[in-house]
Amino acid sequence: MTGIRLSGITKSFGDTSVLRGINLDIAPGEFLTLVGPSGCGKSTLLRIIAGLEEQTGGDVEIGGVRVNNLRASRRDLAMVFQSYALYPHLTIAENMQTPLKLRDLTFWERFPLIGRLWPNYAAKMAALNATVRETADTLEIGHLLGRKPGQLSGGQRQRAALGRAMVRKPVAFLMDEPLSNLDAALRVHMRSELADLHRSLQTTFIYVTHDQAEALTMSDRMAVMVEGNVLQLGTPEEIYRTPVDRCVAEFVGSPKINIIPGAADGNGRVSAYGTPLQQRIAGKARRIQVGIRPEHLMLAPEGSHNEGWPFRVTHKENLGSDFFLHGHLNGSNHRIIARLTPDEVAMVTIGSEITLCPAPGTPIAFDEGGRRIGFVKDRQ
Amino acid sequence: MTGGRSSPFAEPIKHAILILGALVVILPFYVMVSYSFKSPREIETNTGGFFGAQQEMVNEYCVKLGNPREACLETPVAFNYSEAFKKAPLLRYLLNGVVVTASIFLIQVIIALPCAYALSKLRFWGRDFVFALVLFCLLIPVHAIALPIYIMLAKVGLTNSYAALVIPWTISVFGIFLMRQFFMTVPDDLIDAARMDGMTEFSIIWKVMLPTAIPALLAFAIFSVVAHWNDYFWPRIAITGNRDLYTPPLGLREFKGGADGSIWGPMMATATIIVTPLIVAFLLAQTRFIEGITLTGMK
Amino acid sequence: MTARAPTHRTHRAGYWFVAPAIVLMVVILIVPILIAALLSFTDYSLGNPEISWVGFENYDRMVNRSTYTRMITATATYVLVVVPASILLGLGAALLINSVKRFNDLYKTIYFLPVMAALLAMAIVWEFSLHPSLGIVNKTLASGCGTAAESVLSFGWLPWVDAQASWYARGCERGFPLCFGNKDYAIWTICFIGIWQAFGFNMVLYLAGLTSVSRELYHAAEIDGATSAWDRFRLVTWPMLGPTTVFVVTITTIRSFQVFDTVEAITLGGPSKSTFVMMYAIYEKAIQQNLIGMGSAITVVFLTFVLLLTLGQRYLVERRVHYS
Repeated sequence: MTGIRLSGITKSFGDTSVLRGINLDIAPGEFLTLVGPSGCGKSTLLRIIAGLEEQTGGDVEIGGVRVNNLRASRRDLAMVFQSYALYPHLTIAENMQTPLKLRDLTFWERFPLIGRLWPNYAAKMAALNATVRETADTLEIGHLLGRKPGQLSGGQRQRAALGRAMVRKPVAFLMDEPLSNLDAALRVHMRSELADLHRSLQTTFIYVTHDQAEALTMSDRMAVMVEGNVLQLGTPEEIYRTPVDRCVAEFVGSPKINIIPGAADGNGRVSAYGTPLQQRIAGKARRIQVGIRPEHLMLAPEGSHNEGWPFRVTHKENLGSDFFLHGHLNGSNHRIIARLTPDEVAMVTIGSEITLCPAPGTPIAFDEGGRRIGFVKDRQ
Repeated sequence: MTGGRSSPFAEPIKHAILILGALVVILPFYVMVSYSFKSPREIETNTGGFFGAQQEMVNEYCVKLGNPREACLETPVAFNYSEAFKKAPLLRYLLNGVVVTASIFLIQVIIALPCAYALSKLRFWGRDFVFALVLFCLLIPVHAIALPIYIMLAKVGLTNSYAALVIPWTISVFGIFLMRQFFMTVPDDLIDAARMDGMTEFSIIWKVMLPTAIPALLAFAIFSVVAHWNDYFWPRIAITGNRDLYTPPLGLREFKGGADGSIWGPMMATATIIVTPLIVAFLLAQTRFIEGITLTGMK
Repeated sequence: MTARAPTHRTHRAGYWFVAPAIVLMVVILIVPILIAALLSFTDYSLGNPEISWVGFENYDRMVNRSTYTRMITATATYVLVVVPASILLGLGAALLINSVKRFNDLYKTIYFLPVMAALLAMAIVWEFSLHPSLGIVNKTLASGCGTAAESVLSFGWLPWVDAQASWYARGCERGFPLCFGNKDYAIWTICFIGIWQAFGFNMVLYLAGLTSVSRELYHAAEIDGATSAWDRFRLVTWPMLGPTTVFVVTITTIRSFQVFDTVEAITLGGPSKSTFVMMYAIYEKAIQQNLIGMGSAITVVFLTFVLLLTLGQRYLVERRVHYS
């Protein structure tokens, strides 16, 4: 198990700065996701780790060794590409043999046609093929070994690409949005398969995606990247509950977190849109923003009107297991989304007014610049 | 390409090889143009640099015609190029080339465009059969039909005529195929709108399809013009005696017929004149040309 | 493309539009082939009042008479030399041009020039350049006699080569060989001109093919351990150029069978029929000597070769489709 460390990685193409100083310490064996919107530089960072692109500044260390000058083929990493990049003219078996052949056979043994004549050829190929078989069986594609990529379905190709990466038993797997070409149902299925694979292989996985749901469900830790910077590095739990700023809070979680204007009084007591909340913050009285996730909003229980927000419903979305209510807080244009259970929503119609209140402990406070303000314990 | 740290020698060596190749490729062009500027003596001794020292020389033919030597002095380049036009009616040949090439292309378009339109957008019984016929004819190389067509033309007495030069090329199955593929990408709605407006199918071809097909047509034009301007085999066969109908390559070849020393200069001048139009056009519109010539590739 | 219910209206205009093309296709393309096939079994000449059948006599001559066996040899030599050479050079040039950082377009333009220039004209210029006494090539070689150029080009610096007996030394002594007048060299020189003219075309096709190879495939190869250019070429470039190569081989071969200009302009099929290629044979026998029957037979043979080639290409492309 090997750790990877990135120190001060910068990358610019001409005048455009794509990565602005990335520092990451990836623990051995962990599943780390680089997540962010398109263009944030996550794929570039992955390619820099792989050695397919050269960084403008900074160092990449694998297992404590600086590898800046090592080319991709020597870094002992494996990569799964978004388009799988399987060799279309080779069978799946041959695809999976390729990295092993390039590593274990000499130039002449690899030469087409005459390579067979070399004395060690047969033995090496037998060992190679055994590895390929083994890996294929693990991924349950053993019956597809004789086919070409064009004859496989998307999910099967994905597994073949994984197989090709796995045969080399690399020190880390790099994955560039491997699930984005699959349909929704398959994606959900593959998420758990990848997670299982990670557990069984116990190798470092560095995973790039723009889908925050993937990041939340699969990672040990995730790094949220925006415009070439890592905004926050932490476990999914941390990112979800204590985002470092509004940007991260809005990126993670679907639908997006609701942001309502609020204030803190001289005592630090926080109120949002006029309704006091149970939390307190340090510092003087000022205006703040309060974030509350749709899934944390509930129908206020009878008789507690002063602890909730009056809410006019403009739109109802029925997802079967939940409802999303879209609407406005009374007297404002702020659009709020709340996720409620079917029971809660039974009597609600479009245009009706209900009162929403937050689940205890769930609101998040941000200052006017967007940075999260931590809550302090009540002294009283 | 891929983060490869190759040796610093790689790039210069590649350029060295490419430059060497370029020299071999350019050699005949250099010779042709340079020697079209030179006097017979310079040609014999291979002197004079690229442009030849334009020292006035004596035009022997002029002397033979009885003129005094002093009146027969001219610079080599003037001599070469004027001989080129005098020895044989080069201007006439160039005109023939233009007439023949233009006629061929025009007739090809007139025949191919309606056919391509019908094959791609109209429904009628036998359409698939016609398309199969087109595909079949694509297999036939043009040189294979040269002899039989010559015989047919001889039988009707049409050899030695513009008709003989043009007729065999009027049907361009390649053109039909190309335009059909292109027309298939034109949305049907556009055509239906034109029909609703009252256009006849015939005017749809020229008013609706043709304007949208300009890029493909341009590529085809280049392909056709280059092929027929440079063609030597068929004119050689079809024109059996009437010098007035010679196309430029035939003219040059006739020039070569009795080569003695003083003819090399004018001969190179003739070659330059024949080759230059297409080369210049190519240099001005390279991408279009390359597209056109390699069109045969993207079937 | 909108999906629509099938209309049952027949566009009768269609018949008018395809009619001229059909007529011309039949008259200009199909009928002549039939005529050629028929006449190949006769000894017809233009001006004969009637046609007399001679069965397979013409074909028989093709395999027995030395004139015609030399025709086959000359054509075969030309094709078997020009096709591989112009393809390899075209591929090599494409790979080189694709990998250098500057002047790519300049090289591409220069290498494509021969394709644009009338082959007849350039053949004559080449003949002039290779002229034994006037030609710039021989003159340059001759002027190098006795200088450093000689010691390099005679390969005398290779330990096993005797510089005195090398080709260069012999040339300096006895005059450089007649490229065209010598029956051993003529066909090679004709081949050289053919390669010169053709490889630019192949280069452009390969360049187009190279740009269509997905970069991710190269990345995958790099990660898999393909470090050298040879590995990348064998694993990604060459397989992905498969369809292009099939096409290039077919086109170049068909064009090679059609060589005529260079031969008619320079060697007239000689010396001793060493450059007596098929198209020239048709010209000499059928047009000049009015042996229409024989000319037709050669035409039929030519047609058969080309048809086989084209069908072979279609078949190969069908089979090799890389569902990617």
